Amino acid sequence: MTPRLEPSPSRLFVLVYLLTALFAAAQAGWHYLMGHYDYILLPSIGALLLLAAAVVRLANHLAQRMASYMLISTGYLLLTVELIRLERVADLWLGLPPVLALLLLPLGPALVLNLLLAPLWLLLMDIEMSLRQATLSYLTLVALCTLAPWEQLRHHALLRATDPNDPQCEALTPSALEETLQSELARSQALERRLSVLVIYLPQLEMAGEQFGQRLYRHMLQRFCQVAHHTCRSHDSLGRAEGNLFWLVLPDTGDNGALMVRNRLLAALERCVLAETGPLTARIAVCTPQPSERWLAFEQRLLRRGHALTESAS
Amino acid sequence: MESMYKVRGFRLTLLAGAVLCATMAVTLDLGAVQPLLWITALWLLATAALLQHRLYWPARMPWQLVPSLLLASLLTLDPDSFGVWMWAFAILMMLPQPRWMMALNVTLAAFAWWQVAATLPRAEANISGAALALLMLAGAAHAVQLRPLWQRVSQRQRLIPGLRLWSAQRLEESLARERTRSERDPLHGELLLVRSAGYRCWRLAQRLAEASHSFEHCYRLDRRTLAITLVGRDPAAVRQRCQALLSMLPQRDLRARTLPLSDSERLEEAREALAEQKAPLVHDEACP
Repeated sequence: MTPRLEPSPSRLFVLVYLLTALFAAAQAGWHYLMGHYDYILLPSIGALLLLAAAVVRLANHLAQRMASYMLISTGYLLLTVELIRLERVADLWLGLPPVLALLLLPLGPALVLNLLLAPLWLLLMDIEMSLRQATLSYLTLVALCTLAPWEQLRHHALLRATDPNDPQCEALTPSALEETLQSELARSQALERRLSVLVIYLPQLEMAGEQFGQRLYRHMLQRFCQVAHHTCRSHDSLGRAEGNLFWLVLPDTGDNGALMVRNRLLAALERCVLAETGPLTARIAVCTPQPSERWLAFEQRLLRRGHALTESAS
Repeated sequence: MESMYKVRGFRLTLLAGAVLCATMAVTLDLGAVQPLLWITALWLLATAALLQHRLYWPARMPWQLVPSLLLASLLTLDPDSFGVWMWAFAILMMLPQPRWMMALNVTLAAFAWWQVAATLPRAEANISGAALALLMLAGAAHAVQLRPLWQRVSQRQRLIPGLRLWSAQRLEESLARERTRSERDPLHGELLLVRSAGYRCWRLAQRLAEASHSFEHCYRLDRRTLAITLVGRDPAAVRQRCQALLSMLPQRDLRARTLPLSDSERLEEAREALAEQKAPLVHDEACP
């Protein structure tokens, strides 16, 4: 997913954890007041677990999954304690576990958990409804409640399928790049205009990722895209063909113009110095379609050019 | 194309839900609630059938309104057997929705809880209320987290995956691009505006995008108006292309108007003129 959509530590979620901890503590206190000393232990452990989960969630949002599992197991624990204690259980509690799972876990695990635990809840709870009605209600509830996570996944997928920009930098995705280039090629052939493409290879990028980690990798990518956008005109399009291969589409530009852009870009990259790796280096080739060259042939040629750049010794 | 945006799993779940609701309506003796269950099943079926078109609806459309109201009425009519479903209000809170919808969901959930709680002992009623409130808070936390995603989906540039149909916002960018381009290389460009009845517009957009060359981009300006950029070596070639394109579209209720790209700042005027236009095609001449 794109970086801007990474789940951020949400204060509301932490509030949910704290309130649930309070809820568990209140339950323990209530049992103490009522003299049910046997039932105090589990809710108190649950309250402590949840406090820990809240801290974990606040401190490190990558540990979110673990915190969610803590919350869900505590919730189930509290519910089971109540179910064992009460002789007769109201129907309504049957719906709580599946909803809890769907709220806290991703769709897959939640669905598996709900279906696996279904017999447990149905048999453990001594509910008033007939078993048939209970089973049907439970299954329908699970089916209908999964619609919300599905809708979410659909949104994610739709965004991924329609976003023309690469998630890591200011460049087009491979598919958007292909589309742009195809349309420019068609235009240049229909209107007899020139077209050039710069194939750009960044040899430092891979090394930066391996030796200095993701942060420098991203930084280098972004700096390169900035420099490239500054050097070219507003209607040129920069796209990422593969990991460290970029194509810069230059419409209405012939060989000479493209060579000039190439030299300008190389000079500008030279001036862009990163503390860890020194000036940015790039290998750039110019590619111009032959008159009436088909799209597929041209694309193959571009790809071959790119690979030749990758393999040539620096 | 379908698997690209997870339609299949979603549709399958909708159908499973519909079948389960229908089974409940048939096999259980539920009295007054039965029609509501049938309505639920039908609504699920309709959603599954319309799923392809749902993509085109603005994401803002609060489709959760129907399930919220259905759930609340089920719980009101038969709190005994449908108390199990009360927790689903938390799930309804989960999806990003307008504020008033959230407030409505909270109100409906409180009302439903009040109905269900009347059948329970006091302590259990209070605990269930607290648990429901907690779950709904968790649902709202989800919604808050997902809001950026939802906003980006509703402002997306490409409206349909795989189709060259772009948003109105993108048109502004590409008009600026095209203008700088034509300063260096004098080509004649025109913007063809096409207007049709609202319900036919999506199909028209699809036809237009398929009929156009790969360098002619289509844009959806509003519910009824589409635009496409046409570029040619001289005005006559562009006129010819324009006629050819229009002849490929269904003719009913179709109004079209062209605007030279050099005059694209008059776009708003042209749109208004198009809305009142009677003739099928009008060419706007370039301002001297």
